Amino acid sequence: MKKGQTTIEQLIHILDDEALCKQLLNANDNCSFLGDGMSKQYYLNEFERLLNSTVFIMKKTHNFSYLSITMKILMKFYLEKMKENPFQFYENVACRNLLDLSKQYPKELEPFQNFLKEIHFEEAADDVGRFYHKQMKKNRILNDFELKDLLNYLMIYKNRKMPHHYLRYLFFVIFEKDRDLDLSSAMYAELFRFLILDLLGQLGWKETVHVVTLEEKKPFIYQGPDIYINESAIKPTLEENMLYFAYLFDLFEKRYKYKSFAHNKYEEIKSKKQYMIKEILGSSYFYENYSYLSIETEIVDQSLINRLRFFEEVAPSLYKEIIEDYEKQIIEAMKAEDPSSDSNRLVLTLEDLTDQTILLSPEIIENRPFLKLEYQTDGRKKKIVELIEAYESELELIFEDEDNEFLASYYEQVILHIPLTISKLSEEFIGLLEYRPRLPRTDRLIERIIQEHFVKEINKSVRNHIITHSELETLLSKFNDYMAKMYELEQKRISKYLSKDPEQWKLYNNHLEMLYRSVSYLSNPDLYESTYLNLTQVLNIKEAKAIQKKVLKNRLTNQKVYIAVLSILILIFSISLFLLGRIIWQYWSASDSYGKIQNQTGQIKPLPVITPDPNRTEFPINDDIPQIDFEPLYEINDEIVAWIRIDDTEINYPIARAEDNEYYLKHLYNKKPNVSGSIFVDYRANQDFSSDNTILYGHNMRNNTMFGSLKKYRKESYFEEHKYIWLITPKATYQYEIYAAYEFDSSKEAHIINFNSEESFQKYLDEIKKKTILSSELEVGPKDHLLTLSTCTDVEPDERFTVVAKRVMTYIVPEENVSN
Amino acid sequence: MKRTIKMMSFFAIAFCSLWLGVASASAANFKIDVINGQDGSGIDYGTITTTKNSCTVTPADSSSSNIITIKSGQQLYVEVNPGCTQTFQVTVNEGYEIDTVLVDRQYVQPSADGVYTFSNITSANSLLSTDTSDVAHSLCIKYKKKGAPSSPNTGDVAYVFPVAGAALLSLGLMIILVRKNKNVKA
Repeated sequence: MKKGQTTIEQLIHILDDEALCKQLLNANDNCSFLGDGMSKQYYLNEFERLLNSTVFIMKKTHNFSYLSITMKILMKFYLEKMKENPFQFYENVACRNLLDLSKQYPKELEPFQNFLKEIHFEEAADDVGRFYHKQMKKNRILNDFELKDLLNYLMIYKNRKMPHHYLRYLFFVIFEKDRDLDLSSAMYAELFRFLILDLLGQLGWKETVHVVTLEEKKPFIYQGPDIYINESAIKPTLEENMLYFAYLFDLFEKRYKYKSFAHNKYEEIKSKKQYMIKEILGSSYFYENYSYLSIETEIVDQSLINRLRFFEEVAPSLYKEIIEDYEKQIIEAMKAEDPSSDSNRLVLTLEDLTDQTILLSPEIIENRPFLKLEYQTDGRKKKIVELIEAYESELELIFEDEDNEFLASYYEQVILHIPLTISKLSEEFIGLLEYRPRLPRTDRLIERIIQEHFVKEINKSVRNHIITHSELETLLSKFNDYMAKMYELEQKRISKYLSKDPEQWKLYNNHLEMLYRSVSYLSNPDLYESTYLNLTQVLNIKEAKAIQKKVLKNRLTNQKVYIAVLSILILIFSISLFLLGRIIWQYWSASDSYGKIQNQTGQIKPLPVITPDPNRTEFPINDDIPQIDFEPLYEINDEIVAWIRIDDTEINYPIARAEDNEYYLKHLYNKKPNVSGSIFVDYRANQDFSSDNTILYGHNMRNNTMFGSLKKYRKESYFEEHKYIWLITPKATYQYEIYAAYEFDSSKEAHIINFNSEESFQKYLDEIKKKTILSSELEVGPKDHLLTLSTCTDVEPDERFTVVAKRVMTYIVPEENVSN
Repeated sequence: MKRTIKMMSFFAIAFCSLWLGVASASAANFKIDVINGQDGSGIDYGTITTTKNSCTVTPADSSSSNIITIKSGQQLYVEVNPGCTQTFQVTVNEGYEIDTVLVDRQYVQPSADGVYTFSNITSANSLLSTDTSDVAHSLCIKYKKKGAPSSPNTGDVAYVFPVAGAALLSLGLMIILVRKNKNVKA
């Protein structure tokens, strides 16, 4: 075979040869046995291409003549991997296409169906899934970290067929067992969305449902139950699932409330409501509303009612006897205000009676799975368990262990609500649930979930199906809860705007109080409806407008302050930018200007290396010594008197001299204003540099220009390398040798230019010797000429850094060459 | 006749004497130009005093005192006879000190005791003289506030860091403000 030219025939040849296939799969990388030197990966890629091509042809043409090749590739190269990790099946495009095709052409694709059977999807899980599956089977309670991990795992694999019981387990732990995983509201909403989808899957929902997700902020379209359906699970009826749905929502909402508000506040409202319910229902409707009350107060004693129903059916006479006795006890309990103790006694009596009845005729619990479940799990009832073992096959259908406890509660309710009555729940009433005040963003999104996937769907379904009175009550109670939550939110929101106006706040608070009380009259929805409507009308028209006006006013005031502050900041920023630009321009302009004059005067050439002659200090000038034609400089500025250079440093500038020591601080050598200024000689010094001590000044620039580099003389090594100063004047060129550098306070001391006597000069020299930081051996006496370079230190305003040099050589310019 | 001649001789001698006296007097006197802190600020920096000795004439001072005082901001010509020695004492007021001293237009080191003496004045200085007066010497004292720096301020006056800091700070505050406002609107 030639490289890169493997034909289909050659690939089929390998496929047909069992030994070659095995050799290929076991090969490291080198497949020299196939004769063309290509790698193993190359062949695997080629087979994948062939697989995709054959499937594509089948999909487009519905011609299955290539199926045998497809299946050979799948069986030989993919089956083992998919057996290990069945998720790989869903990741393979060809397999997914074949799965679709096999639904349309089950007969033609029978080999593919057989292939599917080889993969055990029921146990399908990757490593993570397998781990949790194991843990749950062991009945181990997962820790918080594991739970979060599992949740993430579900999120990642949400578009795959996932084990149903994972979801149920999570829901059970988080909501039922009240484990606080510190999940975000968005995560709760996402989990809730999962549960809705799971439920819709259970229902065999055919309609398209738009689920708003918090993460995506766009509708997630659920188009069928394929993903979430669990084939092995019991398929409850629509009514059962509706109730389950309500139950899920109830738990979710409770949890959400608990997270959103101060726990105490919620408990306070809850207890207040319970008290009112007891007040309303306690006396005359106690028995009828017992289940309702039990939901509200969470004294869930469904088994009591369960048993009562049971006896009503199986032993009517006994039931009558018990119930009469029970009613008597209830009345007594009401009087004694301790109903729980009586009902507990009743439970015990009923339990004994149930045990005996079931022992006599076990078949009567055939259609009551929760009784069966209870009898299977309770250790005290071993005998009964033995009797009901005959129904084991049916029991297998019940969800796995972790689900039982949780599912029991809702199935119990489902059993209790049969037979059902037709609901009179009106559309208008449900419509009221859609009233939502302005909420924070996350609450609004949660509200949208509630509106779109709870209220509307339940309402629609409720009108088309059967609903119990108890369900209706549940919905009403939910509405009540919901309004309480709204009340809280409203209080929170309004208090922000009305906190500065106690009267307004009081008025508003009263209205809300009335609103809250009105929704508590659940026994009379009409009364509630009219009160509610009146109140909302008042609020909407008067209060809402007042509030809106106030809020608007506040916003406008805030906006004015905002604009004013922002304008000031913009102004500061603009001025700063302008100044910064000006500084940069001045830096650049000074550098450019000095660069030009250095070029013009030829002062870019390197300086000569001349060691001073100790025996003779005056020489006639020669070509090796730096000189300058001052005529062109005088044309620019007739105040230029000399030029200073220190080799290998930035100091290479003309020296100017003015009538004072101020002008050249702010002007360049060409008299243009600039912060860099010029190097200038003290106006008191002799013009011919014959003063005892000639002082030169220059700015200590941050970019090291002018005398900015003088500070480097603090280092001994720098001093050693840059010892000589060249001062070029029209009449002579002077070489100075630096011997001292020091700092001094210019407010206390001063440089002296001409000394009255040799003694005072010597005293001055002695002072320099004391202050200097350099270690020079140069001898300096009162007959010498000094050159002092002075600049600021940028530490203290009056502090100066000074470098002092002694004139060591003079190179005289012949008279005829002197510039005038 | 003799009497007439005698009279004429007397007048001639008297006139000659007078002429010679005046001529000799006007030709022999020199001036010292003294300037005391004349910077136009009106500040009283200090005084310069000198004595009226036998050979001193002070046209501006007609007082009977033997001391001549030159106040701050004044310029006087002190007239002296040839061969005299004239001493000037500078007294600086509290809060000030001598900045520079110019003697015969040359900057000199200020003396420690504030005394400046011109000895044996015998000729005028052509550099200082004008057409109308023979100035032999000049003394100019300049003052400065005590503690004021003796050399110019050669710091980098381009305030890069404060200006850049102000720009960054205002930019940062603007960003915070705009973000906050966005959040409020949201």
